[in-house]
Amino acid sequence: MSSSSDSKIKSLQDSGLVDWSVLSEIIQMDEDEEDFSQQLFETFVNQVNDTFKEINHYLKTKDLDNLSKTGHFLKGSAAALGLTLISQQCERIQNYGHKINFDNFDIRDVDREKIKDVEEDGVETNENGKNKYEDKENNITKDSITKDNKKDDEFSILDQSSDEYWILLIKDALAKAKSGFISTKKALDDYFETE
Amino acid sequence: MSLQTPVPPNSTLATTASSNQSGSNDFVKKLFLMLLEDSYKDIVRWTKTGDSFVVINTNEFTKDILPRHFKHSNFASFVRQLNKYDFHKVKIPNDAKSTYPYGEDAWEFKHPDFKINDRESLDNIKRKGPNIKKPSGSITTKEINNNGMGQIDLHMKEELKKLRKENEVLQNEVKLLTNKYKTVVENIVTLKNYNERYDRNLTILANTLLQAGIKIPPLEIDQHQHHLDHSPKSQPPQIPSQPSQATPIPIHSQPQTQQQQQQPPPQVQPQQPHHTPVSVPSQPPHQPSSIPSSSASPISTTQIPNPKFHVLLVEDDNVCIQLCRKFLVKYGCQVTVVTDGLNAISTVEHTKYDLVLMDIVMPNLDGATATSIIRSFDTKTPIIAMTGNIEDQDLVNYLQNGMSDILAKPFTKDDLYSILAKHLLKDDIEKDRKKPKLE
Repeated sequence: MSSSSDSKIKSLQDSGLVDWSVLSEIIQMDEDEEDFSQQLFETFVNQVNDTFKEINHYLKTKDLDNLSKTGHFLKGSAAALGLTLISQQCERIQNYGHKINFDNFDIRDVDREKIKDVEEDGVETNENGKNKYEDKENNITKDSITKDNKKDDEFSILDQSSDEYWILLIKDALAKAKSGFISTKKALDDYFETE
Repeated sequence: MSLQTPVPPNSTLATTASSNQSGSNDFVKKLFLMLLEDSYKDIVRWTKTGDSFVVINTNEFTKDILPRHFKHSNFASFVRQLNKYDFHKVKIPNDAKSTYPYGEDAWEFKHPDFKINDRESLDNIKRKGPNIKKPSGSITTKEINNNGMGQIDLHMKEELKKLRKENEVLQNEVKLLTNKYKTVVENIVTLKNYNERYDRNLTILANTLLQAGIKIPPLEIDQHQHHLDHSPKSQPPQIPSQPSQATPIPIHSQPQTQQQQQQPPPQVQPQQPHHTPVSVPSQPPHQPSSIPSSSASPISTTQIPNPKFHVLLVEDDNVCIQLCRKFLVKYGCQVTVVTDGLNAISTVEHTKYDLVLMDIVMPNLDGATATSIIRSFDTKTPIIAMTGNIEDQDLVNYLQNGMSDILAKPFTKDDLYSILAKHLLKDDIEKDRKKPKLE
């Protein structure tokens, strides 16, 4: 391995996005089959895009049960690849869908700015891996978003018995999963480029 | 005493309550009216303060006034009645007796709400509860209690009996439902088998037509809509991917690097393997799609030269499928993949596998149920649960369903290999089941 790829590995390890012990094992499989790990990651990217769309759909229909199932599904794939950050957020979705606040997340910590973007469908990252949410930051005009602004004021009074409470927590997890996915994809794209 | 007979306490209460209601205040009102009679003032009268009354001459009172105003025939009974309404005899201290204006034989009675010229307060005077029939002794109260307890006890026993019966009925119903559920699942599996056979035959026909140069339009996923008459027995199912035919040494020997030879069965799936209504199932990138119509096949076998073991991987997640298959192939396994529990059952029915790796959460039928059904006809094949849920309760549930072992997700290559070694090599030692030519 070249020294440049060594430094790439180091930065990937330091990113906190991945479990290197798991990921490295997968990358080792490339010895038998060229580009195996990269292809696997591509499969994952497709799956993530599909699954995020699904989650958005279930958020709209407030289908907690299916949200939990979808969260569980993506958690499995992410964990299999050692993509820790994504799998953690998916685990949150899985649990919140079952109305379990397993990590004692405080609803007041929900990032209101971030979850507005959750309303957008999918996570089609640009070729250069730039976070498209940065571009959207100044472009929030959708009806759904203004509606959500009104809801903001009710955040603190929502209680655990209402589905809205859990929907909100799931939106938070989804927002974090999305930004985690973008960072992870960028880090992995960087890594694969030098291989 | 009437209380000796098992009269429910409620009935006594009821009678008391009713008499209470009808004559609750009559006695007090009569008393009040009686005290209005000026002519009685030497016998019975209000005291000076007006908050109590006094019977000055009990003899005259008993003889003349009681019969006229009350039903009581003697003074003691009148006093008892007063007590029931919580009137109290005013006790005169010894040193005050000499100055007491009504004489030594006078009985003074007092109630906080019984006052001169205060008719409204009379309504506040209520007869006390039935337990206050104390004069005859506290034994009666005890008897009432004992009696009551006995009644409650009896009542509880009856309730218990009822609940037990209900419980029994419910359990029977659950049993019935479980049986019905099993039958339904089994029927679904049978139906699915039929369906698959139809699909295969149809695809064979389509292929033959294609080879004969006849162009056919792209086939719909929903193949049973085609009005092609196929008896399932009319054509022997010649399925290249059918493991029974694929198990012997592969015809094409390939270089190691290209061992990922995919042979999707020419079969069209009635349902998407993925549970998403929105997404298009992403295909494993190296899967050649020889038939345009079959997008994602439910059964795909990865053949390798001289496979040591044949493993069935039941998993609906593409990422996990690719990764796990890679690990398995590297271990020397020929891998067949199906993406739901129903397919797992029908596949295991047709083919003997050395080991089954079973995901739990899957569309159509979950892995635990699929395993319990497989166990009804195959008790030997090791079935390993692959799951992220490793709570004690879940593990017990998996084992009760007939799982041989559990592989916690996510797992490393070594985790997988140690499970494989545990279940595959054990077989090896016990009994040489493998075909000798493969050695």
